Amino acid sequence: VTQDLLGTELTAAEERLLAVYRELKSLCGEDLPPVAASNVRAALALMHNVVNGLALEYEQLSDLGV
Amino acid sequence: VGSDSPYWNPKVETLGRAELEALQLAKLRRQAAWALQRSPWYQRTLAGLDIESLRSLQDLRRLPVLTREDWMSSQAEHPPYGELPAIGGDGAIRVHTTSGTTGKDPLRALDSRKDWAWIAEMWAYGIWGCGVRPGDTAYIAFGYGSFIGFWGLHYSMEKVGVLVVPGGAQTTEARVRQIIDFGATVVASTPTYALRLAQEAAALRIDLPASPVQRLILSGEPAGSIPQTKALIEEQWGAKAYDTAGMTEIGTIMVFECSDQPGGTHIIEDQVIEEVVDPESMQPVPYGERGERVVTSFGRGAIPLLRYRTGDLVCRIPASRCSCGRGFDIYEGGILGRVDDMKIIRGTNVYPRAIEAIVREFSEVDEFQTVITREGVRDEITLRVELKPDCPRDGWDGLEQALRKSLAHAHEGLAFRVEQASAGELPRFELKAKRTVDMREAPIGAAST
Repeated sequence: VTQDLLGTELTAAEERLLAVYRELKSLCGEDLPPVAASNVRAALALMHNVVNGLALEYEQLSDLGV
Repeated sequence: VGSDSPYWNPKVETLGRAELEALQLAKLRRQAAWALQRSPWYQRTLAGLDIESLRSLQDLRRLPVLTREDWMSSQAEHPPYGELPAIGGDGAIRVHTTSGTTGKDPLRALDSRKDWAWIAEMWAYGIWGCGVRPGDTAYIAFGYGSFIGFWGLHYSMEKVGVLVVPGGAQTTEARVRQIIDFGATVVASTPTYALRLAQEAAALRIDLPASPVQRLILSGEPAGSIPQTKALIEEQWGAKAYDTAGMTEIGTIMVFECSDQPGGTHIIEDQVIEEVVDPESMQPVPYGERGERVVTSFGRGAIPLLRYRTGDLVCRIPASRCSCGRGFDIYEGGILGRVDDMKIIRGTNVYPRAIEAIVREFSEVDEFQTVITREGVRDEITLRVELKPDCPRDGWDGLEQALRKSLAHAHEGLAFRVEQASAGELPRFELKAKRTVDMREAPIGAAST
């Protein structure tokens, strides 16, 4: 994905933010100890604010426990 | 861009109308698809909806509205949360309720981790927009119970980097002392309680305007945008007052007053769609005309909210009426009241907001209440007034006449009765004030306070 929800090219910073968000989503699928599993989900909830706010992504995350 | 930005989210707060609506449409399609997929309520009410058919925001109007009564009856039939939730209670991390001030069963709302983070995010648009910054100290005069109230504000303050003093269950005196002791620069409360805190400070001989408090974040009542009430609060605190408004059904605020104070509140339009409709015909009303808010939220996933009839009366005006540069439209005068707030007295429309605007012009008044009665076949409206403790009692006759004259002038000559209440007789409020008592349908023997 190289464009945001408005069809605008992502900036370099936006690409990195989106990559962090996706990495956190991916980690939610891993078998992690509680210390990691819970904090990754907490971090993902906050990162959704970033990608939603910057119009990079918008979705629900309930299936990931977020 | 950092703490110098006047906007919390410059990218979207400065979008033009066409881009903003395109973003809303993209989110609407995803949220409607989610609701249709997961919520038993929407699976029934949106049955047959083709998401691809949502091609413009006008298509939103083809979706059915959701009412408070729908929500409550679903909750009663399928306790404890009804059929709206898209997830079960085991997928949520919070449950909150309405304030229950009407005596009815409270509405229950679930939030997932993401939803709860979003709730604080919405408040962040508001507090940043009115000038709160890292380094501030915020005192939150709030009970921290199951009513959602200022919970989101608390978390948004932490997110921004503000030192937060949670002013939970305490006396008003204790709260005033903490505001001073901690050197609060920001205070959050309802407008009514901001006046109550100022009253207590005066009794304690604390000079609030000389304190570090610079900003008051007001919410919970329309009074935060009634100019006379706001001016009184600002005078008593020596600080600027900023209005916000939200609702438990959304979980947070959806409008805020920016630091340019345009005489209204900006709608956070990248996160909600706000329609303003004629409450009878449900047809949209143009800019500058009063109507009922109907909200679609992109926040909660646990309880999707599509076309919810709020009962709030508003008047929408274009974003360009404010000099701040945001593309978010404005509710002029904030939330003007409830659609069903209006009382008809002998053929004249009477709004609680209009009465408050007049009463607040009189600095002698400490608290007030409006009582409507039916005497035979004639309706009567009585303003009951409690004077400030230091107000000379020999000035009552003049004050009474002036109040009667101003109230009649603002209500097509309608004659109000004006009575003096004794000190401490009228109710005080920490949350939503309820100053209008309509006895016309009250059972015999019901009290007036």
